Amino acid sequence: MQRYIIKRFLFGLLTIFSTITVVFFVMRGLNPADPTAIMLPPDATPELQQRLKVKFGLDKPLIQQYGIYLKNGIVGDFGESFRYSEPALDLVVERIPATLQLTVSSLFFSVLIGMIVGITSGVKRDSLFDRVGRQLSLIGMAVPSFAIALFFILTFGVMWRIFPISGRGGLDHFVLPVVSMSLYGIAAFIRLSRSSMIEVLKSEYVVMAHIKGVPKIKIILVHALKNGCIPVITILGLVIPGLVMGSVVIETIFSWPGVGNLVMVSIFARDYPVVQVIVIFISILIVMSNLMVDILYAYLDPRIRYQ
Amino acid sequence: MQTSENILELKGVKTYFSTTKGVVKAVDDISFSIGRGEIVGLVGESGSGKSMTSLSIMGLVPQPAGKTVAGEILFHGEDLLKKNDEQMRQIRGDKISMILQDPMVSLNQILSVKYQIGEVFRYHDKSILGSLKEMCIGVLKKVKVPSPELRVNDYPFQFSGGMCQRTIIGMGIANGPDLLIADEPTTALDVTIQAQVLQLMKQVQEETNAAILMITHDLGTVAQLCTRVLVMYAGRIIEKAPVNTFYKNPSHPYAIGLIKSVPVLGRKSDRLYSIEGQPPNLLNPPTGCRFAARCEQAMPICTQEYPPEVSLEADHQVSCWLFAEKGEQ
Amino acid sequence: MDTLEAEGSVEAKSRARNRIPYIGLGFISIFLFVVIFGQWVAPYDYDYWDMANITQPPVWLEGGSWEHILGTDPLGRDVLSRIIHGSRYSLAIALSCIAVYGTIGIILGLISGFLGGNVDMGIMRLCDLWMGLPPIITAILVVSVMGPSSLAIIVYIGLSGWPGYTRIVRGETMSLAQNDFIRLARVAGCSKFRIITSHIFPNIVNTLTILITLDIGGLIILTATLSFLGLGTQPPSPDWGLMMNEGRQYITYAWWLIVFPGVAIMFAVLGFNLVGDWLRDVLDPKQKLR
Repeated sequence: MQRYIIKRFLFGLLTIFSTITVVFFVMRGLNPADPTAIMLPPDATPELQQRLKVKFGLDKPLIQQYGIYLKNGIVGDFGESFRYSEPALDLVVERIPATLQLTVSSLFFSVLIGMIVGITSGVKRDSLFDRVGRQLSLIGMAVPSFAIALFFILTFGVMWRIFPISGRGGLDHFVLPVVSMSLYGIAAFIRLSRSSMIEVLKSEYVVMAHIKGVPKIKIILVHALKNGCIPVITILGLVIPGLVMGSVVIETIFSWPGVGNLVMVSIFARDYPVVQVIVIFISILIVMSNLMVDILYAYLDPRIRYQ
Repeated sequence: MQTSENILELKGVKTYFSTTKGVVKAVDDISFSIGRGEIVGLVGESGSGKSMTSLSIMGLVPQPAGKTVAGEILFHGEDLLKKNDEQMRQIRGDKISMILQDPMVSLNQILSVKYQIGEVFRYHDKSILGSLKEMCIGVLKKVKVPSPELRVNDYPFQFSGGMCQRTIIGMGIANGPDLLIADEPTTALDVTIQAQVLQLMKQVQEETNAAILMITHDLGTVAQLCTRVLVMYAGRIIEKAPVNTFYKNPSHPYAIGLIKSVPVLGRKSDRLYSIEGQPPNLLNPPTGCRFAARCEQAMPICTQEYPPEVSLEADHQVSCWLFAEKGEQ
Repeated sequence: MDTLEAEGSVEAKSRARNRIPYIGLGFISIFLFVVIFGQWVAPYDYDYWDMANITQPPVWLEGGSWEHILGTDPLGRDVLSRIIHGSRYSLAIALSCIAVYGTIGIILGLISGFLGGNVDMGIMRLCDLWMGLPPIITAILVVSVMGPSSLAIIVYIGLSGWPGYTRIVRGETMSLAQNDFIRLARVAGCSKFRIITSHIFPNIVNTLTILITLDIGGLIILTATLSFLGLGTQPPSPDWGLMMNEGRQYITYAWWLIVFPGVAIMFAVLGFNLVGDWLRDVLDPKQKLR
């Protein structure tokens, strides 16, 4: 068990490191555009441009730049933003809480509502509840989250003015972003947990539990739920990267002051130090969530625990 | 028949499945009885409705497509079909229990053996008798799982197939049932383990005096274990006989074919006997005898009308026109 | 055990209820009709500016007219015509993405599954590594290097989508290679290339059909999202996602600019998802592709 988790952790570290490396060389090496050209007015002299390059260390060979980047990175110095002349790390770190609030609460609602509805659908298969839920989840998976967000802005923000449509503030600011970000996940988890529940309820060990005279509710809550959760958790690992993508969209639409918003601005401004820090942040987030999924998996499935 | 001491009696039981193509008559008008302490073999090929018969008794026919639509299932004289879900649940695992075919998939792989055995006690208010763990160890001891004190904390994937089946048998007899249904309990096991498990079942039966309904397609098991045989074909019982009578004097052509198709040690033969053809589709079973199409002695009446049950001896019945009055004419 | 057989019939019942998805086929037919005949069906060109009728509401609202059934945008462009022309962008980009990652994925999968050994190991490790790279990071990288365009979207999705196909095709190929007809072909002296192209590939077409149909819906959503963010198709193209991005700033008084393209996306995706689910039930009864 411990060895398993340590192995996953080391693999995660390796992933983060290789992501940093790939991103560095692709962004600095393959990139045709010169970031100093964007920072300066079009009529700047070549000398000025050269001085700026020296200032940011862009005049040195690429491999040397990489070495410096790693060396400084260890002590938490990831360079200065080209655009805001502030340390890139600070710029990103101060926006992390906003993004985490958004993604974590969306994930929470997606899993909670999706699984409750999906399990009920699977248990009461072909009932009215199941049929309605199935249709709604089909539609939920056919509408992109940005369209849902715009539709909510239109109805709740513009027509009825119930909820604020931009920025971060009280709890009411959370409603529209979180709901529009969760709907796709809810639909996906409904479908998944429903089919997984149906699969499990057909199995021999559920028949065996009935034979033993275990009450139906206990069969569902102990046997079916525990086994049915395993595929759901596997998918959880795949959903989290998608959630990061979703937060970019939702933060842009609702002017949410988070990392997703910052990454869009920085890409268009070719503010590489910031983009690089964000990429590192995303890969740490994903590695950590995968690690959590692995631990959860081992907790649920003794076959992994006793490897 | 042992009418006085019958603990289970089925009268005209029909279990049907509704599918989009029509109604599948999986169990069609079945009657038989089992006396206290008897071991009855229910024999037939796969798809003949053996397992559906047992699930009908348990009240566990897959819903909502399947339903027991007619008949009576009398257990200690009370009709199980008239009981509600909760009453049936209390009977299951306590007074009637069942052993499934494949031990590796019949146990939940991610719940501990202790938990799964414990369920048998927990939901039948037996936990007052002592600590649950002690009771579980007791169950494993009874079915001879080695070092039960340690093994009780294991998970099923750490058990061998034979140990899993022993555990399941242990759960089946834990509450001292009056009736134990065993649905091909050895088919999924190695040949060497098969013998051990059968021996265990026999021993258990002698200790608890439970009646056993042994569902199997292996006539060897029947000869070894059973006192009486029921032969099932395409949803119907076609012959009922004591085991000795059955082997010496099988009467229904299908039963004769079954016995002939068993290889006998030491007897030379060029090829193994096999019954030609396929069992009929239960969606639209033929109106007459269901075996008629494959029967070498079929008569015109066989395809027109279903044969009545004829008693050849007090405890030997057969449904075949060869023995019925109309057929002789 | 006959429980299973009986359960098979229960299963048959619920699967038969999964009838031909007429609604989904209807949506796809309309979508494809518009894609193919769009230029003749659409009342206007996608960048025709009717400066006399800017920001006109749809026909059933006050101020609407039959000339612009679904209204116009602030440049006087007809919303209906732009949606009709936009269908082609959606499908073309989605299919190009599939063509890129499908080709890479299928070829690597066939090679990996058929040759086995070290080649297989190498390709599978590459898959693992590639899948470890979060897709959003690939997107950021590609757009940073190439700048925003439809080509960038195709490169990004094309580069990140292949491992899934490789794994499935590899699995199918491995199980096919065990079959007698493949062994016979080997004995008969067919070259490896010929066995792969004329014996194995035709047998995985069913699987690929399901995969591709199920992918199109998701790809329409993904590409529309990227265009909406400004990372993909650039103005004045009538891409549905881009139209909604442009309509966003007028949301307070011209809702039709975002609602209609959104509805178009929904119906197109719904169509492909419904048909994809049905194809999977029909062509993949063992549900390997779950």
